[in-house]
Amino acid sequence: MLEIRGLDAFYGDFQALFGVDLSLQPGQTLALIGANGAGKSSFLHAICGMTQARGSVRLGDTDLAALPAVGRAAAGVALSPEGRRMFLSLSVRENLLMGANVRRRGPWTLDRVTGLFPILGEFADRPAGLLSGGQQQMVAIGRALMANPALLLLDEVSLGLAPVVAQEVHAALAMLRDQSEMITIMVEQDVNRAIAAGDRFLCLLEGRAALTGPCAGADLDAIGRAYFGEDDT
Amino acid sequence: MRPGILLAVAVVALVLLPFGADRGMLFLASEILVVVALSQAWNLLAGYGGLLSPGHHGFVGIGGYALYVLTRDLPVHPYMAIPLAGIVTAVLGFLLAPILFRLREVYFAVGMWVAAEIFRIVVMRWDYTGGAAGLPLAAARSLNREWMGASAYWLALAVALGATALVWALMRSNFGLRLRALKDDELAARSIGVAPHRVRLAVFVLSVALTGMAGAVSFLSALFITPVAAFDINWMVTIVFVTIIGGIGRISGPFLGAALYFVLRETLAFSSSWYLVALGATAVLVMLVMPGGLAGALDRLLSRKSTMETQP
Repeated sequence: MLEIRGLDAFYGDFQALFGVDLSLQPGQTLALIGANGAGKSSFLHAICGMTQARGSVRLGDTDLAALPAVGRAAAGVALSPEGRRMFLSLSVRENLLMGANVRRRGPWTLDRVTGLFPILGEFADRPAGLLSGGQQQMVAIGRALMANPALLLLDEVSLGLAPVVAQEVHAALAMLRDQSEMITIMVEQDVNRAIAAGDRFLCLLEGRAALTGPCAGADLDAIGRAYFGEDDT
Repeated sequence: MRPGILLAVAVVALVLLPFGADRGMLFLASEILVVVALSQAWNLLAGYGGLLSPGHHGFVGIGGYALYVLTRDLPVHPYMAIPLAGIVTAVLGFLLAPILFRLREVYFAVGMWVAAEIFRIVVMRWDYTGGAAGLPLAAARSLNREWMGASAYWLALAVALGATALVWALMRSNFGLRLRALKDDELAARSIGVAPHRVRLAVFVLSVALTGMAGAVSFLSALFITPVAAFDINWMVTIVFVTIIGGIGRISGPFLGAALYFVLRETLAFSSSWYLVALGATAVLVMLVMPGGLAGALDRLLSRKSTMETQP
């Protein structure tokens, strides 16, 4: 399980997160929501060691906070970053294979990733830079899966994608969710879609946890208030 | 298999060159190969690794001096001292890397240049390295005069082809994939467990080791070394010109760039000022018209031809 206690994150002197707590069971998906600048990406970066952070982050028996980014990747944390971040000089296949760089054992192979996203198998030898935004998003997710992660961090799953493409990506993610012990944290702009895709949700506001709870039966009005920081009066 | 056969024929022809060339031609050929080796080493670091170093002339000098000091103080044959010079520069690079890697981008470049200056000043002030007056090759006696030109040429050929083979092999390895990923996008690379420092350290040490070996080969046939010649900034100017004009980040770049560089130099040898003007103008022109350098332009030409051939 994933156990986060009092997580602070910093960019130099600027503090982006203030004491966020979170606890997730294997197989659970967290929908991480919040306005721009609320600290969603900072939260993911603090978990995978990309930014200065303080607080306790435990994944199973591993104390992630004690490890550098490279060690956390080896311990099973994989990030599909915002903006997709393709390796532009590499082909689609090479991009995916880079994900297996940490050499963790598990079910994910090139064949399984191209089974999940068939278009990637078709375009395996193309330079990743020539793909559409949606296809690049699939490469970014596939690359993270190739690491056989215990904790999958998906930043901005559908940002900048056409609605129909975003739907396709989410359909693939829904398939993942039903069949694995992997813990997933997903950042998604569309709150309704995020709530539909998660088991629990966490709404951040100016770096603090504003509201958290199960997605099933979530009160969208309360989430709206937490999202925009309006008082409950 | 035709390109493979072509390559083999070219290598055999290069190996046999000393039997058909006169002394002057052989000397020029050695010089060209040293420049190819230096550019390939720099290309590995800058083109594939994304670390722009304007201080590689410092490692040319260290390699040259390593040859002269090692053969003076230890009973090693000058030819055997060439790989040893590579080890000396590799160790120096390894020790300096923790300091230099604290700097990023343009600061790293400044740091490299400062390091090269420090090498020059230390060598110039130190009696052990002969000071400003330089050193003669103490082991010159053990060299066969008749075969010296040919031997220097073969060593230059070995370093140039060795550097190229190394880059070729690296870029087909897991390490090469990690290196390119890191250059493309550092955040994404770190997120999948690529350790930026480890990868950069390895490529840096390899690059400076090759540079040191090429430097040692270059000063072997001179029989004399001075700080001014060894740490000459013109090494750097040549390396950057050749790599960028030839096509940075492409394995054929250093060869094409060196060919153009030496054609310009030999045809404009009558006037040093026109030579520099031509060099600068060529650099500007190539960068404007062919952003990928000569190698990039050649690639485009070949792919256009092959698509024309495959069309019915």
